[in-house]
Amino acid sequence: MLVRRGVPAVLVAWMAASSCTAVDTARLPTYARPGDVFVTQESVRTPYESLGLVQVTRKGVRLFGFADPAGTDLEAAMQEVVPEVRRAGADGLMNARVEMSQLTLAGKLLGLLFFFVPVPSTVVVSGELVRLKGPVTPPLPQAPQPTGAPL
Amino acid sequence: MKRLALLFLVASALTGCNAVSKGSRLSNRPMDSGGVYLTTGDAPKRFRTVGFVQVRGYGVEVAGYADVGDAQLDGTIKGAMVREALRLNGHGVIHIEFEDENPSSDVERAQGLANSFSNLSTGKGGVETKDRYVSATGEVIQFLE
Repeated sequence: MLVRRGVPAVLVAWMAASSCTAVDTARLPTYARPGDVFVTQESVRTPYESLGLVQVTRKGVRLFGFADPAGTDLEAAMQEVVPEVRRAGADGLMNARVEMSQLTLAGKLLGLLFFFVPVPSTVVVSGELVRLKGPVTPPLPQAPQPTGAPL
Repeated sequence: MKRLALLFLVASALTGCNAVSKGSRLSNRPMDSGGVYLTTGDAPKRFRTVGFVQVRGYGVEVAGYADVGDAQLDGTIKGAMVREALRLNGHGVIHIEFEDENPSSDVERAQGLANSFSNLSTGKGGVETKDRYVSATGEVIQFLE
């Protein structure tokens, strides 16, 4: 009896104490080796040829709050995007937009508590495929200009 | 019965679906042809903004494969959006953002086709259809040079 009451109480306390920040990261190709492609949220300002638009959507459900067997996170989406860029014969994807459903720790714990309700999860990555003209160099963002008086 | 429900739950979780929507090429940089300049990036030369445009294309996917209407990236951007840009006397649309709101995966398309055949062969219902939406926004510009 004590255990039955104790577990939800611990979960509720954990939820209350947990942060509301959810973090997702994805590692991208470094564009340092031949054959690497770039994915950037910037515009390319060097001459390029547009090869079209692409949107990758991954849909699935989360089980027990934490399990994501279908792979609907940012990393999984990027793993779908990079082959699409290569298949199109592009050097990269510019102006990439990312949209995904994120669960905070509290949300995941709620999913664990209500384990019988699968939580829908989606990640969408879109952008414009481009092939650079001339020498192929990565469109690195410009370094910020120093501000204020010199020391 | 409980086992069946659990099996369905696990199967549906493991079979996440993946859909890829594609649109044809937009404008190159620098500009190399006439027509309305379209890009997801910024303008290749000096410009002034004449307005903003948002389009939500609607169409129907018939039997999983045939798309009717504007619910494709090309129909929405190169059709409806370009028409609006020309109506505003624009020379181009920059900073285009787009979203295929409910794309179908290959499995869903195949399922739509199979269901349509099944419905027609058994005489229970007709061809399966699905409403499709694509939205796009952009900044309509006029070049100054």
